[in-house]
Amino acid sequence: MGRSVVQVLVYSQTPIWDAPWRNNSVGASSGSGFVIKGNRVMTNAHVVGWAKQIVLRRFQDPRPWLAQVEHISHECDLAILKVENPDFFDGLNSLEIGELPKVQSPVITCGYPAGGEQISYTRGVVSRIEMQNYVHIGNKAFLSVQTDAAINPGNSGGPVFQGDKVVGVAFMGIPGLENTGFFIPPSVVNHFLIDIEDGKYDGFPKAGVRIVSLQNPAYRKYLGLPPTGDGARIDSLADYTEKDGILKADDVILEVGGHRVGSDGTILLKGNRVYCTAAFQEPQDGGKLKMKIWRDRTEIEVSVPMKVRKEEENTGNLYDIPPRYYVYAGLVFTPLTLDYVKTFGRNWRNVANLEMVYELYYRKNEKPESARKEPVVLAATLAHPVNADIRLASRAMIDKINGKRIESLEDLIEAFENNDKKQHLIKFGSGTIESLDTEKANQAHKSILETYSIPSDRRL
Amino acid sequence: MKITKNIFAVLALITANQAYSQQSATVSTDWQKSIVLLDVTRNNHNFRVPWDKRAQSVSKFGLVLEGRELITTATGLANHTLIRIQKGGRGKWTNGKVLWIDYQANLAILGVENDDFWNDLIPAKFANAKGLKENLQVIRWRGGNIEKRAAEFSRFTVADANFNQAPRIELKASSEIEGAGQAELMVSGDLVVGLVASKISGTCSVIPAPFITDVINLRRKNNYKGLGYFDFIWQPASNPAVTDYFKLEGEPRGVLVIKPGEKTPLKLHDIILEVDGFPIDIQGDYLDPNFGHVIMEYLACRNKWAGDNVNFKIWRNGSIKEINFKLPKADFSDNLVTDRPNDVEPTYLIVGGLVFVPLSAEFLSSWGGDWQRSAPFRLVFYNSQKAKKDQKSLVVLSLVLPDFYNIGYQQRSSQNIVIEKANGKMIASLEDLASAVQSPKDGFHIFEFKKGSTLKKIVLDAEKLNEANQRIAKRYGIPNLQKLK
Repeated sequence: MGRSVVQVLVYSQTPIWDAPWRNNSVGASSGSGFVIKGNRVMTNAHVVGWAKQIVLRRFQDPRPWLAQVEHISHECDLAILKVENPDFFDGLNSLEIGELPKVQSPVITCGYPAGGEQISYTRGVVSRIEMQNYVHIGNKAFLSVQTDAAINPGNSGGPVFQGDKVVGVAFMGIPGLENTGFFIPPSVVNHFLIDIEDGKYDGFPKAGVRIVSLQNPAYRKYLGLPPTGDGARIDSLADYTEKDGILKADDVILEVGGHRVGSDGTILLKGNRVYCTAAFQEPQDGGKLKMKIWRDRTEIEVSVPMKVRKEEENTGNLYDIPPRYYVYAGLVFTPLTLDYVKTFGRNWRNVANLEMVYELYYRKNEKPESARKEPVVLAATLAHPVNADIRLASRAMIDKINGKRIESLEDLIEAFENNDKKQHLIKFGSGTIESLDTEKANQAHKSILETYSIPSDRRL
Repeated sequence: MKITKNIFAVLALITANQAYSQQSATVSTDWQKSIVLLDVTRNNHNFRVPWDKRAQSVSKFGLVLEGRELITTATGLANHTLIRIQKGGRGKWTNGKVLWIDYQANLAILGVENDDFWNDLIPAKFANAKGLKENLQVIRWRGGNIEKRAAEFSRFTVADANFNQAPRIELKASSEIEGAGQAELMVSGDLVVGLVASKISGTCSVIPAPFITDVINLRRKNNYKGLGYFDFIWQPASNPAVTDYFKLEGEPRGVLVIKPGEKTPLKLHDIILEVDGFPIDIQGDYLDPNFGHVIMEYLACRNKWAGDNVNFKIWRNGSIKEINFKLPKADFSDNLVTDRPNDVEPTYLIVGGLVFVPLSAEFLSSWGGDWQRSAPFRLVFYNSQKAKKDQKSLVVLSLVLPDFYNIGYQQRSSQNIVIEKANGKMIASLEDLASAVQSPKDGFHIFEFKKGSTLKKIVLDAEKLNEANQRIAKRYGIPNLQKLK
């Protein structure tokens, strides 16, 4: 078993989100992985994110083996690696993915954690099974299994065994909690493997509903239900779900994907009560989810088309795609993302201006009609006489350029490039106005790029 | 007995005479007959538990004025229940009362009913605008004696608009005195330079004498109209490309209006060149003859009061225009988050354990000095928004007092959310809510919260509401389930 568990050595480089043409210095890290069928290696996405070079080491084999990412899911923190030299797999058995282990049942984690060079095994039991926020992406929750078997840095991506089957992929701990490690359960692993069967990763679909408990007898009576019983309520819908028109506010979900939904919003999944969003993650992109709904005092069946949604991507951590930007006359523009605001420091929520936080997190829920596809910020100003009089030099939301409302970075470039007036007029989210002399700005543009060694004025 | 009393009277007479002689010897004043100690008991309200009151005691100082009055800062006087005054730093306490107070000016005038109180006190004299900088000292009572601490003039600033404070001129002075900010006197020689309003680290913020004397004079004439303010938002027009864009002739100068107010006739992108004859520079400052370079905002208060006329010279659509308008009163009635309700008990309405309160500055302040960071973001964000026609103010569900009646709504997601409708009616005030609760829909009370809230809807059983209300009031010891305006 242990022979098929490999060490993953990675050199990676992350971008600097407020100087998006630059990168942080190269960092070294290591994790674990294991061989699955089809001569592939599975590991965590966070082990190989932003990788510049991936080298695998086999059990007690000193040779380095070069590998590459074939598929990666940053939301469920899994990745599939391909090894350049197929000899790598000689003598290695592929491991099989098993079933969700039962609470209290024993498991063994296996990998190359910090504190030594050799493979390490630790034993523990399944402590509990719940929906958990996956920290790598930051803004999504999936089913997760907690164990008291030690999971330490370097264990990431390693298998968790029960018998000779893999029942999970070790992936995170919670700082400050002792004897708690988390692993990704088979349902999530299999969802990822099925997703990539067509050679392309699509992601987990999202229902776009906020489901709340339905335990108040008055609310149940108001909807025509007995004071106690099953069913959780749809309290609100994302803009896109509302437009689909299939689910409605005050729908009571009685059953989802064949699971009865309790009044607290949980379903029974192989003996575990977990939040019902677990069931919403079972279908693949483009699939359908069967639901029994209580609406207008009648039970109806609906089949909800499930789609992958990108609308909330910028509120999660982004990986592997270098940041988009445009530099004009020393003004650095980039999309508003969580990664960008994190450049303000750990307490970015206190530092960022209110409009920025509102735009990133609240506007699309509260005023979807006024939300922008891709809000853009002025991230920095590279000093030059042409822009020296601009007071609001960074960390500002862009509203309009030359009268054009900016919905994306492309809009902004077009607004600058197609201006025939003597000045460019930049209007910020706060209402503040700044201006550049068009002719002088165009003249200075190239030399500013050279001065600050910016290879290209844009990355789209 | 009779004899003793006579002796007492004679003694009093002697002290009064001494006082008189000291007053004439102007240089040697040691202030002990001009500053008194105030002990204020007040109800401190917790706006998040609005029925709860906690008695709090505040020590302050008062300055003796002509006409048998005292002046002090307004801070700490809100919701007072008792004011006691002690002169000479020791001995008997006398009851006082507030004769006049203005929280925006941060000044209060106190009186004492007992006329004898004034016998041995000497009214202070105020410095004029030219005498505010040299030889500063902070004066207060400390352990029964007058404490004098040196202070050094730093600068004049216009106080930041924290919440809805009208702009005020402040004198900043550094001093090592500990724990100041309770209306200690800032003096220069035998003249009062101002009252210390607050002290942060080593810097005292002082309400300067010229402002205090203006307020006192107006109030004596019964002509105090309150502070005015500029209700528009501007940005410095320091970027020449911006002034070029608006084709401003001549050197860049003035400031650009970026959010016009509703009460002043300025328009978007007007460039303000002069206010009352004072040229505005590209920073947004003007040169004050008394205070040096200060921010333009202060021209709303410089010898001006709410309702006075202000003259603006502006650049609009390629030419210079002069406009005159009446300064609006700094009541901030166009703000969505309502102004600090001073001297008013917190209002609230409890419906089946759901505690509703107005979204007020005071409510936000209950998260402490750094409320802008620690209060829920969504509520803080409303503070930057103006009132709307159909919703001039907001009501928050701040807390749920757990009872089986409201089970299902006791999670954190049903706290600090803003209500939109109750039983189908738009809610802008507690009064709206109280009246909506009078007409349930088919036996239910339906509360709908703003789009995007962590909970959108709550339904309660109308029939069982009274019973639940009584049970909740009893269980949580709440004397009144509602307190409206």
